[in-house]
Amino acid sequence: MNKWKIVPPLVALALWELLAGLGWLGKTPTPVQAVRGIYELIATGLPPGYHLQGHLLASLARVFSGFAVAFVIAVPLGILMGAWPLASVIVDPLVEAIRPIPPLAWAPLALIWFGLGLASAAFIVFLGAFFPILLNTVSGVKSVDPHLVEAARTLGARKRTILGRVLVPGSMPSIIIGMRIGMGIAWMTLIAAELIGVKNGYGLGYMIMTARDLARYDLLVAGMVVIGVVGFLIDWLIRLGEKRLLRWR
Amino acid sequence: MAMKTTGQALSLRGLSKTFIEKKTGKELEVLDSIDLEIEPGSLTCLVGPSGCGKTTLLRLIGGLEMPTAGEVLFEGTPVTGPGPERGMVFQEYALFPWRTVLKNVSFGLDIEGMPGVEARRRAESYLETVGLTGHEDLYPRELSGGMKQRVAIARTLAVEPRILLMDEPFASLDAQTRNGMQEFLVELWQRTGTTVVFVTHSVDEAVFLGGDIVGLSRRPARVVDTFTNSMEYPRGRTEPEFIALRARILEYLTREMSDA
Amino acid sequence: MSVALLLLCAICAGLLAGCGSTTSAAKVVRVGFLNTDMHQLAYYVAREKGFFTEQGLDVREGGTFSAGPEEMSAFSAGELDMGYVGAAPAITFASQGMADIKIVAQANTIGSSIVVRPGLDIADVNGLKGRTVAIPGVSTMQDFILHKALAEAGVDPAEVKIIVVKPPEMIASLAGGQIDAAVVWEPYPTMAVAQNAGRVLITSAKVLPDHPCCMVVVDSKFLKDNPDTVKRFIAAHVKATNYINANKLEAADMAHLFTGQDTAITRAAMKNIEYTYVPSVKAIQSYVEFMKQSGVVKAKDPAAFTRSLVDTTFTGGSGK
Repeated sequence: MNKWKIVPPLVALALWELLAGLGWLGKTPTPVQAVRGIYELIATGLPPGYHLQGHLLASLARVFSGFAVAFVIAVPLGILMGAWPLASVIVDPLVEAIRPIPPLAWAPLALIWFGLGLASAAFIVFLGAFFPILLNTVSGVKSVDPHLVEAARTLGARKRTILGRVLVPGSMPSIIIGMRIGMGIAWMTLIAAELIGVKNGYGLGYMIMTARDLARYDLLVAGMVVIGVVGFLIDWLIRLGEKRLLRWR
Repeated sequence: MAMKTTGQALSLRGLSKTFIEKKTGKELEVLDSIDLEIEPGSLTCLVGPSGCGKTTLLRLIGGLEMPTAGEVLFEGTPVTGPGPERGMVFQEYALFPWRTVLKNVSFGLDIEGMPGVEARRRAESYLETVGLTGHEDLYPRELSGGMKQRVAIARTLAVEPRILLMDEPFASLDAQTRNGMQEFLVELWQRTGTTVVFVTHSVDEAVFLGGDIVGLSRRPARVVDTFTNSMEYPRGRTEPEFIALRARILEYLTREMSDA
Repeated sequence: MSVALLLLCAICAGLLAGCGSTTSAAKVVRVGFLNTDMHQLAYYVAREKGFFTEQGLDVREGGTFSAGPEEMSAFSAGELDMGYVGAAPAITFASQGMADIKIVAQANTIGSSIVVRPGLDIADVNGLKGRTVAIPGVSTMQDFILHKALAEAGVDPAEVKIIVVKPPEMIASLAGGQIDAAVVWEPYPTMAVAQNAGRVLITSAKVLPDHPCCMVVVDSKFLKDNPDTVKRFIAAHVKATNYINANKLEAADMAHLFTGQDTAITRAAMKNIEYTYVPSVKAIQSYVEFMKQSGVVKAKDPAAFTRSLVDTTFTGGSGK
């Protein structure tokens, strides 16, 4: 990675430290305070006794379960919709009707349907991740070179083989794009959803909400930094997997 | 006209194809009652003016399109769809980019359930046939045009087709590579004895390759003329006989292209 | 013509007099409050009955707030002069130095309950052992009440699963059986009972008699610069509080207009709320001590901290 990429963020950090320290940013905490805050979140926890590690694990569990469900439904459905116009015609209106509704708007309903546990947060995450994965899968399938399909047919491939051995690998680049977008939205949506209610008292969103309620803005910013870094790392992991899977590009 | 009428490999009888444009409903007649017999083991070239329907004809034989009228009989049975016995090689190579060279070649074998070890062995031998041993683990994006086409040919050969349908396979290659591939094809054909139907734009190529050269008319295509090349292989491109045949074919082509 | 001139003078005088009386005495006060909180009814009554205007105050609403911390953030940003807000956010924001405010009056005491879900057959707080109980936030007054109730019943808080649920979601969670009990302020307990989502196990008044809840706070700088305005504001607040206590039914109807809740709800809820205006330094201090114990307030000396935070001069209260 180009080592000069790190310069703009460092400059921004320095500026933030300077301005906040001078009091020019209202009562915004400085980067140093934020870093100390991260330490406190790990050592003491917020609320006291609820450590960062626990919040992180809870949030990760929710985002991955919601994402997994979205993936498992959206990819096969997307491949079907991309390969069969009829499937697309049936499913598309439903998709287009629900997609514009922000996942968070479902939160009150989610609570009634699934309660306060993992399921309701996972449901909201699911709604966030599902549509990007689906749409990108469909477009991925549609963009598979038709000559490849024909070549497969002339080599003796039947419909199911074409599906599994041509359309799926051929649409993989698009599917992965959908995954990256879906995961990004899932992570953001989860944090917001955790502000609604968490059963066991753990969750990064819940943690920063508590920080706000208790006027601990240093911990709030610390929490935001952690959330941002984790989101970045998750995406980085996906890109790593992408490099492996798409070696052929 | 020295065409043999025993033709068992392939019989086209009154073959016609009309396309209907989806949006306007306009009809486009591409093939007009083609009659053709192709003998097993022959290497036949199809030539004709641009856009006359050569590719459509090949696709009908391959089973990628269905006739509007008439029939395509392969070894006496009507063709209802594509299949490995009628292998096709496309101008665009159509190699699976996510598969290595070896896995591309073994594709047809993999999908029919052949055990991995044997499929690999077979693929390797066909790679050797096309002279690409050592390239097994490369990906298509790492190959030159000529190499890609050879992989495509190996891939089709691996399923041991009884007829090889080739649609301008060398058109995107540079002149030198192209000539090399033509020589390679002749050699391969002589070795395997597979029936070959070869569509081309290039008269030179047709004369170099074809035992029989079928000339099609402008769209809607009919068979206008058939030429036989009885020169020995490999053919000299500067031989008088070569040049004479070439001239005759060019003449017919020019006629076809200028006629009202 | 002299009649016309006289008339003209009279009109001008009238106009001038009119202008004079509205511009010279009216002082702008930017006020914050929670528009769903019945505890802050005194504000609404004072406004509607013109008690603020009487005092020569032009009260401007500084924003719509649905929760205490939001309102305190506005104080932090210098957007508010005075406000009605819960004790918890006021104290936490002050202790963290995020807002420089003083508590100058009480808005209400008591007014919360421990509600249990239907089907939970327990007789008293003892039955909460091993159960899941929801509070509106860490270290809120409701959290304090819960701890007191458990201590009184001899139940170790560690044996109770305490989680945070926002009040609007509490009723659905009770009805759905996802939580066994909730500690929350009126009108939620009354609403829960009305919707058959729960029954009141014990009121906060029984657990912690006269505990404070909502307060009237003022931005410290505003207080320093405008002590007279603050005095007048509180006078209006006192009058409104007394009015509520003397006209319970009418107050309940006004609460309906204020919060949007049904009159049946507001009337029942009011039975569990005490509208007073004298802040109890002792009660507030004991709450501060609780918050210090849970680690959310870092006050070396809770007594000193409380004394610096609460100003009883406007309400004539002693340091009780």
